[in-house]
Amino acid sequence: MPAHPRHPGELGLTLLLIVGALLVGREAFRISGFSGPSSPGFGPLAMVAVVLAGLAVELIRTLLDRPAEPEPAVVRLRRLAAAVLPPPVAGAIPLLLLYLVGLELLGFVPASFLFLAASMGLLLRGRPLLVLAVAAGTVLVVRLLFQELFQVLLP
Amino acid sequence: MATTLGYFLMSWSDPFLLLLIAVGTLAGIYIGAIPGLSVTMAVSILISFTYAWDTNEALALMVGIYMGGVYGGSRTAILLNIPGAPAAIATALDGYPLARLGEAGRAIGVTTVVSFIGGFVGIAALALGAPLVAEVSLMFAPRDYMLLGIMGLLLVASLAGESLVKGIVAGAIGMLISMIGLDTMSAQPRLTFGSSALLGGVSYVAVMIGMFGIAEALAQLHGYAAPAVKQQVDRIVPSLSTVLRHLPLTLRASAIGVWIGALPGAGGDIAALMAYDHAKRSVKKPSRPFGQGAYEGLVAPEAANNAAVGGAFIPMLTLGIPGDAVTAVIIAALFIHGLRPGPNLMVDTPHLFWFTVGNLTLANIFMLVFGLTGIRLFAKIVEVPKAILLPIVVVLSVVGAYAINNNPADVWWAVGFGILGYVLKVYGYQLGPVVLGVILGPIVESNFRRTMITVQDSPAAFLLELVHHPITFVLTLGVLLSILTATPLWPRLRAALAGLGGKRALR
Repeated sequence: MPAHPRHPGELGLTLLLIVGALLVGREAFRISGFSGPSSPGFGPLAMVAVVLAGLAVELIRTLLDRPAEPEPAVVRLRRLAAAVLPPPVAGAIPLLLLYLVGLELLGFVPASFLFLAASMGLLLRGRPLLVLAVAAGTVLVVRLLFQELFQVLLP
Repeated sequence: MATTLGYFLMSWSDPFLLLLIAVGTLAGIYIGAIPGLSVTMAVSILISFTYAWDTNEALALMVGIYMGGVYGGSRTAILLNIPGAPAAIATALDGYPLARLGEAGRAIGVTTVVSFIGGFVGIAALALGAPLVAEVSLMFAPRDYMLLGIMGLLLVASLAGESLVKGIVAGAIGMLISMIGLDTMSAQPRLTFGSSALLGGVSYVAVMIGMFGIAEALAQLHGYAAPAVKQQVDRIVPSLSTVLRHLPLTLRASAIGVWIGALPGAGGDIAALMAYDHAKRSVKKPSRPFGQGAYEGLVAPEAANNAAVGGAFIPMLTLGIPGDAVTAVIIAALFIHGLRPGPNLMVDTPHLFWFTVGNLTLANIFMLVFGLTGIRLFAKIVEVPKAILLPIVVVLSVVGAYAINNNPADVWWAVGFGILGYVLKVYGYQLGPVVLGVILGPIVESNFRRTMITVQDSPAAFLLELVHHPITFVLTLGVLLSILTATPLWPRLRAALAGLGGKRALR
């Protein structure tokens, strides 16, 4: 049995990282080409080389670590979803992005209250009074503590 | 001498600083104890809040959180078998069996007292050792800083988790992030993809908040609904005879903690595991078999991980090299406040060193006081469901990211790095190495380039530089040894060397 069993979707992520590293590598080459170790482009190129070498090792490991019997696409997708985007995370990421949009449109207090109430409500599955009270209390404490004590500007 | 004492006692005589250290230590104990909330996360988020503060106030709070957090991790290790921090992994081995035997209160008490003793040994080592290290380091050339930076980067080996290769990839990604923006030596744009928004680079605090705050919160959503385990806690304060019985082991483990903590690239977690191993080898008659509730298995790692705090401050303050992830974050905090940790720190701002030693001493005393009291309140707080805690962590991360420059773009960066960090974490790429790369990348790269300029880009002359000067030669050996010990070759080599030693002894 391999030391680190292959995670669902690992091959896809490794390939994606390789593509990303190649793009960064092209950008790094544009800085000063291969013009010498003290040039501004040397560090980025060297780091891209390290990333690519590491990812090549990971790619080989992932390819060698293929399951003995290929799984149906539906099963693979289900395993991928469970590993990377289980329901709480799948719900949290869009909520987080909506929160950032809400911060710019509504301001800190209403956006944070809505975010906290929605996320706690989803995670606790009910108990609306508790959720509303904790969300309101948290926003109040954060505002008082950080704006007054820490003297931080809130978004 | 009187001036030094004045700096040391600065926080002791200022009620507000005293309060900040007390609050920091208490918060650190609770944050360190709550699984899912790490000290690194707390200090990362806190940096941005203290940006507008006076440096002394910010440092006082952070030192308290660090000291309290390292200790706090032991609480849940004992009560729930869930180490609150990596430094408490070894504590769970005998701590949890003790809780199952109904001795949780006594175990927490012993842990608190030996952590206090270990903390003092670490602080004493810092006070005595750092000025000597700083004196030597004033002779350092750019090549030496480069080697020290590399030694710091080798911390990826211990932060890498399941795969060293993934740790190295993560560290290199962090270094690439640090290179975005205008080059500090040539003012040439690097890795900006033609975007003027990237010319100023990416704020490392946004990276840290994203990686340690948001990514961690998303990762904790896996299994967030697991019910909290309730524990009964009885008598806390240990008897004097118990403390005295374990004192020799406490002091030996503390020495291990200081030594490991002071090495760039090794922190409290490794110190605790090594001290546990030492206890297993050296204690012939433990109170119970190790792994089944031996107090010696609790004493050694806890004394060592708190001693490592003082030890970790030695390379951090004198060389600007972190001993672990938290000290990496504290270095970033010093940068934000316009301070440059390194040999000149003790020359330019000597008060800061003795002020920090004074703060650590105070935090250690507060840790003892808070550690032995408020246990019942503590038991309630660790039972707060993650469904409530995690959204609050996200809101604090957002506020923290915005507070760096009052720029909404930093919030988007933090969330972007949070989502990227989450995906990387799910696939076994640890986030500590990324942040380490972001912080140490500029030190290593700029000093490497300076050295290459002095040798006119000649690789042969560069290699000669690494062995030609005594200090550089010692550092080069240190780097090579650190690399060797991180490879799978090391255990075999060590076994072979031990075998040779054994044969010689038989002859």
